[in-house]
Amino acid sequence: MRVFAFLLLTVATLQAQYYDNYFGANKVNYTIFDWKILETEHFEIYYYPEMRELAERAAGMAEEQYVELQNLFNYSVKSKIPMIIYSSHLHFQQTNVSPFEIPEGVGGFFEFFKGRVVLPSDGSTYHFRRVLRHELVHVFMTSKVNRVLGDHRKLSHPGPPLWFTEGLAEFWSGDPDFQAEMVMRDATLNNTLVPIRQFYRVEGTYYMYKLGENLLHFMAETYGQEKILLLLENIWKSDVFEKVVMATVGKDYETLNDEWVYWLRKRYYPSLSDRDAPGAMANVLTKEGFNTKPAFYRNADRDELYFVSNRDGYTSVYRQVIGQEEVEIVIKGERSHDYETFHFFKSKIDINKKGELAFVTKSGETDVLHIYDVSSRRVTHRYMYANLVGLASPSWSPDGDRLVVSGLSKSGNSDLYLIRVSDGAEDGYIRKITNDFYDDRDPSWSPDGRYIAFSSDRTQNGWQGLYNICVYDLSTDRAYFLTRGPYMDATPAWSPDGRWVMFTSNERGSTTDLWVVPFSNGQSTFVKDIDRTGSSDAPSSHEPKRFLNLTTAAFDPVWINPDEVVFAAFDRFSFRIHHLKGVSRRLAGLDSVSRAVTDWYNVPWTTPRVTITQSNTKPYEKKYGLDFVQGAFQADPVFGSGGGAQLAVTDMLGNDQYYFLIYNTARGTSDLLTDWNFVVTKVNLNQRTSFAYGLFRFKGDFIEIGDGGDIEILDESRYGGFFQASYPLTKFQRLESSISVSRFKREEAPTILPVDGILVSNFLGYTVDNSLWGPSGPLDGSRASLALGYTMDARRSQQNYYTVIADYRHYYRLTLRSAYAFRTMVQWNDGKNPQNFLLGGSWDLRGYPRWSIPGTRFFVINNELRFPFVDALDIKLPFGGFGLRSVRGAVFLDLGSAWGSQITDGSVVLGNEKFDGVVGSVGTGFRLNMWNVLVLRFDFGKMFDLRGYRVGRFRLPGNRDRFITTNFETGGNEGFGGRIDGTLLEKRRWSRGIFFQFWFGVDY
Amino acid sequence: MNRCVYALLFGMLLLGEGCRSSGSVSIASFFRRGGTANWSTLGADERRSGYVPTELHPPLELAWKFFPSSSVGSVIVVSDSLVYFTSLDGRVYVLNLRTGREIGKLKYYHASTAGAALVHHTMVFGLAAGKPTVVGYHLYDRRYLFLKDLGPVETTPVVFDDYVYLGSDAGVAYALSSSDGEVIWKVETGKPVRSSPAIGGTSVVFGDDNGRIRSVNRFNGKTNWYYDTGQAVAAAPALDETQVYLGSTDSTFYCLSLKDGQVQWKYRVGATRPGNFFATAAVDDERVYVGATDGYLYAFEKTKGHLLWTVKTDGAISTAPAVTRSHVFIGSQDFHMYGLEKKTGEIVWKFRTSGRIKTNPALYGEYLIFASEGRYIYAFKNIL
Repeated sequence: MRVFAFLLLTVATLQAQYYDNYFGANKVNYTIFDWKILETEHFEIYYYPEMRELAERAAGMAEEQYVELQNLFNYSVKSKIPMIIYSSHLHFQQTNVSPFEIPEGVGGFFEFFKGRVVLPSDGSTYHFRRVLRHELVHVFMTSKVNRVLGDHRKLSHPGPPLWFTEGLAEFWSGDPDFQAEMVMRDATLNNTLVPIRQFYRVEGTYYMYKLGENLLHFMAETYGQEKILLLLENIWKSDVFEKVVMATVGKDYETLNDEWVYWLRKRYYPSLSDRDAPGAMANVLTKEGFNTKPAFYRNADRDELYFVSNRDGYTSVYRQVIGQEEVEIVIKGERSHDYETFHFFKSKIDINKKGELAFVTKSGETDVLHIYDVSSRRVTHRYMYANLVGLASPSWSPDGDRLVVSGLSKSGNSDLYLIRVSDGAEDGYIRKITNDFYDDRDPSWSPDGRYIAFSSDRTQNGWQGLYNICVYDLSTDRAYFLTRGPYMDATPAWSPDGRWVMFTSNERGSTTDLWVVPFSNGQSTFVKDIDRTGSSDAPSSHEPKRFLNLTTAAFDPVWINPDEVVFAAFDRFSFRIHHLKGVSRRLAGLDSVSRAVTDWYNVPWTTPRVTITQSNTKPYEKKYGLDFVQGAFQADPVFGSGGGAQLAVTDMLGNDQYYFLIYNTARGTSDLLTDWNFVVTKVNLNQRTSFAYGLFRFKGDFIEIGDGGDIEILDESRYGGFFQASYPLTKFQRLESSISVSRFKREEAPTILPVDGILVSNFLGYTVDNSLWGPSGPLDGSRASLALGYTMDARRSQQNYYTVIADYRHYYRLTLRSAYAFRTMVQWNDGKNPQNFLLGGSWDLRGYPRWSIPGTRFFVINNELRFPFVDALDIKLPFGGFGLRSVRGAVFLDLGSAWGSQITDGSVVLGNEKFDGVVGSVGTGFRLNMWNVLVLRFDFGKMFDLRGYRVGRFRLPGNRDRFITTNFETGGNEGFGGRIDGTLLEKRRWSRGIFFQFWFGVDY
Repeated sequence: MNRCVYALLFGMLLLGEGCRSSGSVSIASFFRRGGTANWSTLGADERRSGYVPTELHPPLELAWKFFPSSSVGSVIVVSDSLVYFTSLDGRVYVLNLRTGREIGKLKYYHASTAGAALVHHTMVFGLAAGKPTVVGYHLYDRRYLFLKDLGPVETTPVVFDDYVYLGSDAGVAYALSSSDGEVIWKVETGKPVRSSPAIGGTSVVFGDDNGRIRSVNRFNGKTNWYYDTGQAVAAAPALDETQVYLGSTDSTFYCLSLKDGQVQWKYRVGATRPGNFFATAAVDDERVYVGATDGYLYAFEKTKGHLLWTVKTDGAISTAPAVTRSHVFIGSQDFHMYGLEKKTGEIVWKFRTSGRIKTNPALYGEYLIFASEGRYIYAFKNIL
């Protein structure tokens, strides 16, 4: 996709216009996959050989889900469903099915145009099956809704709202998981539920998913299961979903919301009688942002807490001295190649007695295990393994020379591995200690070094996503169950004396609490051998005991000493780290709690499976199909309006893409047949270096500055071809190059520009971008681009010039949601008859009409303070109402100048032949994020002229008489059908330089 | 000649008297009374047996196809060589059975999802939204007998002995006068009635979204009995002289005594793959046939409920079988209409349509008429 963006850049540059669409992080195709297709009755499963077993299980599970969903929907999807699977999230992030960057939180997606289901394994078969189910609900739901609306000829129907589609996908994916319970209980008890009519406030968030799921749960329980299907079958009855709900359950949103909230309160308020909020039980150590995965280190006389947090928007490792509020960033994440992403909720961190912090980040193609010395503040070791795509939750041995980690192989299986850490030859040696498709995670090394406790779904209930705590005995290489029963037991942590293992646990339909199980260093403690041989059930004295009983959920316990633990807990829609004292007293007073026990003597669980044979599998063959079609309508104050269409044809994996853009720029019927424009582009994304080539023909208006300062609209035709390549060095950096050849012909005009020629342009560029975005633009990080180009007229040598474009932007975070943004940009064409750049407008020099200041060279310096203005504003009117969200404010100061203009008419000066000082503007404005699609920018300010300005004895360069401004009387503002008229360049008095501007586009 | 008559009829289309309808249709010129059994409502007759004593000999040949303005409602009615059906964009069509040509249509602003019942030139149908929601139209006289607002109606009415029986989404079952639509009695169920009522003796039997199968006296609406299945009942019952056959969304197919509602036998699907019953059954002298969302068509011996055979299709079955003397015809969401030998379940014929089959088929003489998504009505007949 980067290549395509660069195409736009190049075309824009050819047009002597330049926008900042050359930034953005890269989606790097590190891995070349040997794709195969497994065909089943209802699916085409795309897989690569390394995950053959996963593909077979995916096929079996998909067919199983299909039958269940056919029953639930009373509907059959008849075309084969394409399902593209990846053995890890890191591979999944390389998919080209979606052009967008895929964040860690996305577990899979359904693509509507081709009906593709795309999902990765994370080592948990249950999770894979649940995500698969979620996406298949989308497949059935989309097909059924389209069918119902088509049957009723309601082709312009907007469809159900997102909260319903995602809520239903969750609701029909299985019982609510503990996270759903955690979120809904927290929202109910803290009175932060969002009313149904205001679900748009949380549109697209995880919270919206859970609200939708819970509301449908309530409706099914209260009004009947059949109502959920009826909501789909009644969708044709109204374009307004509330009326569909009304027709189905007979209640409007207001009434339904009251009933739902009451239902939730009845369900969760009683829990206050025997449960406590985490903040009531323990000291809250962290309050800002999400904070998880604590690790403890006794550093001389200080108790230091290390944890992962996203408090500033980036996820990083922080340090906090227990008892103090100040925090310090230890490892800055998500800003560099080495620390692309921390696996925020998945991977623990650990620190040994020597002060070596072990943590995992994604770095390029695979995860990397880092060892960071907190004393010297440097990384001492980095480990990555070609066959281990994913790594998670390192845990140190007591002597600090080994680590145990959970590793995800290319096959998609999650197992435990031991890694040697030393300065010798054996450094990095790795040994696998479990080996099967069961999910083994959260390892924790015992204080005596003999045992490793871990969480595993190799229990009888594992297929339901339930885990128990197991213990691996390194002295015998045997493993045992430490807990049993239908629970989600996770994140074990040994007490310093090795007598207790604390872990998190929840029953189905509940949230996670802290539990402990005694450990007496003997096999009699264990419930059962992991292979179900050997000793029988453990004595009841070794049953786990509930340690805390919280209203919400607890995670990741870590012992500080025998009497203190820290843990993360969810509270008020935030993850906070808590510090609990008096542990030994609490342990002594714990009562035994009878936990459910299941039959241990059944065979281990497995999944349905479709065996891959020669007859049902074949190598991947490119089949091209329509990916998207969209109408294109352009309404431009300069170029007028025009219409056209764009469509893309891609193969199933999205690696090969053809784009066809066609539009007409005719201003009258006489031009209708001649003013056709098209671009045909082939984009190849199959390998790390992506490339694109194509042909284009432009016919229509070419903007140039004519005599008298008017913007000349010249008729021009241009056709040619181009080739571009892009090589991403990392996620944040890339090299790009392009060449284009075009023949142009334009009408005679009173300018010095040639009327015809063959232009050959070459560009080489380097771009870096690690910015962090807010609702209207970047808030943190930096972006830079340097492009060098050479353009020549190969026919008559009327134009031969080089181009330098340098653009640097830095965003200084002031608070969580405010920043100071700085940009300096230089664009320079030099040589024979170079093309003019056109400065002015909302994106570079505010106040000055767009493209009003010509020059073959220009620079701008922009300074902007960005801050939250209005988070939510609901306006109620007698005939309805509307709401505004994420309105941001800005205060700006722009400086700039353009010179080297080729316009030499002297009657009214337009631009300058030589550098003639600096003009600028200062003002304020606001930006309105509209549905995360557009940003409406409004700026109000005053232009100023620093040319010839005196500061004491100093006089700035330039001539004040040549002030360039806009025509206020004629309303020459940008956008909204406004116009730039022919009197743009009148001299204006200083006091008249007040302006306002509207435009659509994100902040620079 | 026929074309001239049709053209004349189209020219006679007048604005209807309903405020939200247009067009009118008369069958006067086309009415041919014959000895063939009519398929006058969902399931052919007031018992919704789905059985007519006719004979079709698959393979069948396509007699004609018709392309209405939208997908077809759930019921096709054939009476006296005329085909009636509703389309989901709010139209009622009348076609000539022999030629497949349109004779006329009525236009409404809302859809009749369930379809019509037809007795003695009176067509009665419900509308799933808007007002009015119950329409009685005299096809011979081209006039509305009544227009009633009883809340959204998604059941196929049954007309019997001058009574119209239907259920509404408002949770009420009604008996109306077929001449003027006057409410004779009503029974409130508390939840929508989407299960079209059937008549057996002096009883009207229907299900509701409470999961109840209910029998009421058809003259006064007093409840004879009810049976609670626990989950919504969307399918219509099929009756014979003594028993009620009806599947519920609790995955169970029930045979109840028509007299007292006692369970005679029941069959639960889902042991190997999940299934449910949204489709109405058909019953002949020996067997009862019903399709399920698991894609299977089940045939039971009707007195004891022994499973005789099953046939798997590749899509959910949400329509009722149509049964002749020797064959069963069943449409599936796998796009196919199947013809089965009814003693063994052997598939002897199948035809791939343009889309899922969600409209209940009809039989009339040597014709099998059915519809599929993609806006096609098909008429097949014996080759010889």
